[in-house]
Amino acid sequence: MQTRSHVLPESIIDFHQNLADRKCTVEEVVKLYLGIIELRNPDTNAYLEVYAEEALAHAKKCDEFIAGKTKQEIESHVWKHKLFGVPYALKDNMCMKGKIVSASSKILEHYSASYTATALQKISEAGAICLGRLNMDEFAMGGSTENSAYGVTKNPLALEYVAGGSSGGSAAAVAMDSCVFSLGSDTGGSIRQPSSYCGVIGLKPTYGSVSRHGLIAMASSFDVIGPIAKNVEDTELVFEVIKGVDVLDSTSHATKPIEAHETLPRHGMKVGVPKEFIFTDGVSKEVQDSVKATIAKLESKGVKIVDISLPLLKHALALYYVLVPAEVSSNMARFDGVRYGEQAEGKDLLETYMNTRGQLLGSEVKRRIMLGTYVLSAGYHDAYYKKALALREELTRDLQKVLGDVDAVLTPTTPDTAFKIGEKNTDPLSLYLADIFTVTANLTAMPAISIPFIESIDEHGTPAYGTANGLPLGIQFMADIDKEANLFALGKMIY
Amino acid sequence: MLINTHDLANLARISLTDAEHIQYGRDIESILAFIDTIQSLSVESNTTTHSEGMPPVGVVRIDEAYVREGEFVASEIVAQAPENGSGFVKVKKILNQ
Repeated sequence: MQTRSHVLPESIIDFHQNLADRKCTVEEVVKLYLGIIELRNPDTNAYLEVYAEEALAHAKKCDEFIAGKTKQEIESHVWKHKLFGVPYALKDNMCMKGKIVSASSKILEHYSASYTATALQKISEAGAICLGRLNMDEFAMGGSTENSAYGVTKNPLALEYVAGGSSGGSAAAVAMDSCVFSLGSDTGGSIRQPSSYCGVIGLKPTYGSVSRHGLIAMASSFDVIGPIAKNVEDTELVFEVIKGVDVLDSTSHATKPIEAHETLPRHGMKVGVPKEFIFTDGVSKEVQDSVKATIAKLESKGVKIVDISLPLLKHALALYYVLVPAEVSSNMARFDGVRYGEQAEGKDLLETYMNTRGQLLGSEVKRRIMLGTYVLSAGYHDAYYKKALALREELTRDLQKVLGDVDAVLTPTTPDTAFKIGEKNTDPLSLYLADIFTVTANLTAMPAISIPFIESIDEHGTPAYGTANGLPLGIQFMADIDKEANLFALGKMIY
Repeated sequence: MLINTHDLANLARISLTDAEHIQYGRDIESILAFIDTIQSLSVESNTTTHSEGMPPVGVVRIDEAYVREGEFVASEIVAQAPENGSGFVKVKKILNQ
């Protein structure tokens, strides 16, 4: 009798190896994760709904499937079905047919999806097991999950702190070891910022590399679905599964498969650092130190670091907060209390619209719709929206020029570690400023990854982040369009 | 106050309480003060406002319905409407008399 492993898998490859070696069953692993959810979720509030029964049934099916197979047959099956039996969870803004998808809003509290998002279809074809749906800022607007209509998600590493957002549930779920990976969506940093706050890895893929079909839209020219995981290898594997052109999303495009050697740490890589933008007031000393330490680490591995200058970088956030509310105000027009979702009835149609949106949308959503309405209104459209569109083009052009010369641009992911719950409730602008390093990738369509900065690891394998509150922070790499391979290669060098 | 939140709320089809009007007026003004920095930037004359640098360029879908098996079933979609009946979405009348 072989000894059975009752510890969580280190990675997807490790899990599949254990399955092939009969060291564990899929059911055992799913039960472990469900146990963790039961234990931790009452505190963290990462999951809005857990699909325990279905997940266990799915796990049993997986075990039955491999029961009579040889080791080689199992290995060959998981080679083709890259996520076979892998437990994951998804952000509450992706449609899965027959399941509630609420975008953490009251207005969609009972809304059941009539189709499945393409990314989820791909994940399911690859064999993954869905454990549940995860909390987020309402309609993905926010950076702390405090805007959820279903309560804040707490940081699993320190419960008085936010998990970040808008994919706060997705980052927290991975950080608390309740699933192997999760899916988030990123419009201005919503995958990378919570990943940074929770000490996990988050990838914002190239715009259009992953289909948006079935993702509840926030800002359509910015939104992208991406993975959150515990290591670079798993992040890469999930990205390879979900990416691809889709007839149901005409902004999606085909990308060539990333060759394994491209994502290995490579000698002679060149990384640009916009020093004038990082070593400045408003970026905490700890964050600046983490960047310096990362630069030293990369240099010791043969990476050439060059100083780059991008004057428009410091205006990226202003552009973002013109263009995104503009798109939000159009996308949110569909929530009218007539076609789907909840309704707050009025005496006539107009009053029904007004009441439904007034009573059932949260305050950040209403604020952004109003702001978007303002920048698009007659008399202001040219000064704000058109001007910002043109500047977005210039920023893209300038960044592309820089990325023609370097393999990636390095910045921190956020200007500080996670903040305390309630700390930034009163001033929306102060919360927006946390996006300063992340929005550029969304404005320019470029891929970007957040990798936890680790100062040291003790003998028990517990990482130290070198911060006063003991919370993690992330290092961000941003690459040229469809150059995710560079991000994975650099990620593996520092993590 | 420079921002007329009553006009904006009306355009956006959102009914707001008095407290919300005051709050949003203040918030939006402070956000506008921040984004106003873009007014000081000049744009090169040859810069377009469409996304030249970004993929995809000029994608037009073939004009035919594409539905996956078992998805977008009419009865299921209609059932999601807050008011529905006999396979129809019910909408309040928009013309008087």
